[in-house]
Amino acid sequence: MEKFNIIPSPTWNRLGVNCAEESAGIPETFDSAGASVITACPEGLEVGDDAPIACEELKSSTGFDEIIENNAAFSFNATVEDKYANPLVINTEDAAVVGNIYAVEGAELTILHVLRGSSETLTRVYAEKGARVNVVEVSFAESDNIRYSAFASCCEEGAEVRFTRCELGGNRVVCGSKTVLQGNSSAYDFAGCYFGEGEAVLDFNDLSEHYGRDTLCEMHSAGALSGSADKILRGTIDFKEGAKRGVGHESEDVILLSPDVRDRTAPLILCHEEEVEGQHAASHGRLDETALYYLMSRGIPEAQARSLMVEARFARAIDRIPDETIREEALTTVRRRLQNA
Amino acid sequence: MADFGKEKTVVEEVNRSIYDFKDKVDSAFEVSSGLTPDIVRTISEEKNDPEWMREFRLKSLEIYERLPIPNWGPSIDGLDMRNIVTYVRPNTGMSATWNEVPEDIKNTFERLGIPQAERSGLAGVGAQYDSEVVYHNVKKEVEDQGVVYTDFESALHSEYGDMIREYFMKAVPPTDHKFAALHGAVWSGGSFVYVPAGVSVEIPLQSYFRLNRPGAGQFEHTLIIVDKNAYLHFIEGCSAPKYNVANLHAGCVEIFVGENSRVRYSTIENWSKNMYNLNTKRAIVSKGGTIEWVSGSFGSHTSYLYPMSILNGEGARMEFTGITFAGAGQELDTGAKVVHAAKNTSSHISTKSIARDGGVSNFRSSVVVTKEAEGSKSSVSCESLMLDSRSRSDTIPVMDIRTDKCDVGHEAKIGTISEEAVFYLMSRGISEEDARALIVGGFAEPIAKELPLEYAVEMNNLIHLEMKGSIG
Repeated sequence: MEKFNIIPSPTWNRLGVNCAEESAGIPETFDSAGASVITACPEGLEVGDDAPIACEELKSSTGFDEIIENNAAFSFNATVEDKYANPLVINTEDAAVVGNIYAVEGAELTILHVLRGSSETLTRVYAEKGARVNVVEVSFAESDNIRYSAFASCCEEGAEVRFTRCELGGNRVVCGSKTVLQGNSSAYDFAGCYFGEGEAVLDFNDLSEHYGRDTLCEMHSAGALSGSADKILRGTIDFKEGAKRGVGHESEDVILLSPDVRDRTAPLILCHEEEVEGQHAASHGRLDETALYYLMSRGIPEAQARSLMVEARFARAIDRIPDETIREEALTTVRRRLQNA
Repeated sequence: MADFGKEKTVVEEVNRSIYDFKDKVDSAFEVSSGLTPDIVRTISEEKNDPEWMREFRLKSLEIYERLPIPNWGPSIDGLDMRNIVTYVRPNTGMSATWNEVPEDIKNTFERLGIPQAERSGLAGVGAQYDSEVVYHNVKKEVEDQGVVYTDFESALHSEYGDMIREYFMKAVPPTDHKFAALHGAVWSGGSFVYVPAGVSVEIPLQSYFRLNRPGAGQFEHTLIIVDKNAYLHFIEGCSAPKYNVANLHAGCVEIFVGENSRVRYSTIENWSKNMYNLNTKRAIVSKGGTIEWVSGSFGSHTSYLYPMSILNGEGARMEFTGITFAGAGQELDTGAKVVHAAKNTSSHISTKSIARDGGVSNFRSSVVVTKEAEGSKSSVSCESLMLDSRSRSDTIPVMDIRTDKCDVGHEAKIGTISEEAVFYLMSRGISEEDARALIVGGFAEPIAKELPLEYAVEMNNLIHLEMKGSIG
């Protein structure tokens, strides 16, 4: 059986984190009868069918790029040659979509991809020198939906890619991202949040590879698990030889809302370069009772206080959604799931 | 944000000259190289095993043949079991006085400082040379407390035989992994310790393992059973001279910590750089008990070493403090494992590692919190220093949490010295060089202070930090 979301450096097999488990099952074909529509496009940006070759060569960390590509009925491809203030907005429902963004030197673009139902996405970004690309994926999958997300990017000198992934539901959620910081002074900024409820199986594999000098990576995830949700998150910062003065920070903050959840985390730092700074931190457990008590002593009802504390953790990702309505919908979804928990 | 200094701290290579002397190989008996049922039967006959142990060995061999080599961790391609001699009996029996130990073997342990350490501050000493224990002694006042400290074979044939049968390879079953199975098949030597309820052994016991024969394996078994409300500090040392053929160490340590008891297990591992150190250590901790691991890994060509603690009783605790120093040609994969299997258990893992001169130092850990472990707490902290870009340092921790009522934290750092810390110390009137020396000295200090005094001194001799500007 083919393996997906393979950890960059394996460890004890019995922990079950070396790749996605069978319960995360990736089918060869998707039943994606829905649609994907571009609902807003910055003036002057041409979105077409042809994928730039540099993007097609990029690989995510999932191992299922090809499956999504073979199943995708929709695509959005663009060569970005200007700085665009307004985002490209795509709305997808029950569909498989491939997106390829090639940003030329100095270009800037934000993409907001709103996903509903079961959706499969492969997004590839190539950022030339000094380009900035910001990709935000927000999935409102419900408990009967599956969700697969593959993200791959590469940064030339001084380029920056931001990737935000909000997985706010779904029955099976399998996501992976890989960014290659090829050029000197390139940067990757990842913020993720997820909510696993019911019998959800969530599997994440996020990787930042540092090749250039003076590279910077920030990878931060926050999550909440309720019901009997089962989650694995692999987060890896990989300093390759020559990545001098590279800096990478990684964190995960998980709130556990039920005694039946399973929460596995493997935050890796792989280091083949001396002059680097790598850090990771992880925190797993219940909401801090002292903080909860403090909020309640200020007159905030318990349910609202709990919600505030979870929202605060999710804020890093949700605040980056470049649309107020979607942002509010994301917060409402989190609150609703908290109430169910 | 990191500030990367230009000048580097020079950390010298581990000085191994005190361990690299070789004795002429003068074994009384050894099996042929390789691993077959006949070899296992021969070892069993040589050791006059009871029937159950002979069967256990043969069953373990079957398991060994069935299990795959690990598909993770450092390469062990250079280890060919067909070339390993699994049993080498030195040309002497076991003695309780150093004067009865043959001159060359006694001189070896003298040079390693074992008899001196025994005189100055140990409650008992066991010394193993190749596959057999050549010296074992325990102070009378400790013996009078009811403490049993003896070589493993003597215990197996003594009144404690049934106890050994009950506990032997129960914490580390042969099915655990391939080299645990290998150990079950060819184990030889090691120590048995029993501390009765309510007894506190105030001064440590120490076992020292020396492997002299090139191409041999050492498979000692250490079984420690500490009854209720008791205390023990056990020290383990090991070394070998360097040869140009692979040697193998696949020992096994099993510790059973009774209710409200505390056991401290300290190790300084100085195997030579041709050694494959595939050792397994595990403690099962009862209600209110504590296991403390202190581990220094300096030698070996390749190490897989992760002492594991199973916190089975309510309120059981585990602490792991370790330092790993990987130099040229070494790949040391070290860390710790803990399973929280009862309410209100706690664990703390703290490690430091240094990689230089092309060495590879990996930190690997697993923290498992089961559904039964409500109210448990765990924290893991690991710090790594890379001293050149030919070296490698990977951090591979995993947390597996199956209850919401727990707090699990993890932090790891790889990096350079903090300029803010240097600035702060300088603002307090300390010179820049002294400030840097202070910070780098502080890197290893939390580990050094946990070691027995003579080992702390030894570690300082092993890692001589020469301060020249910032660490890089």
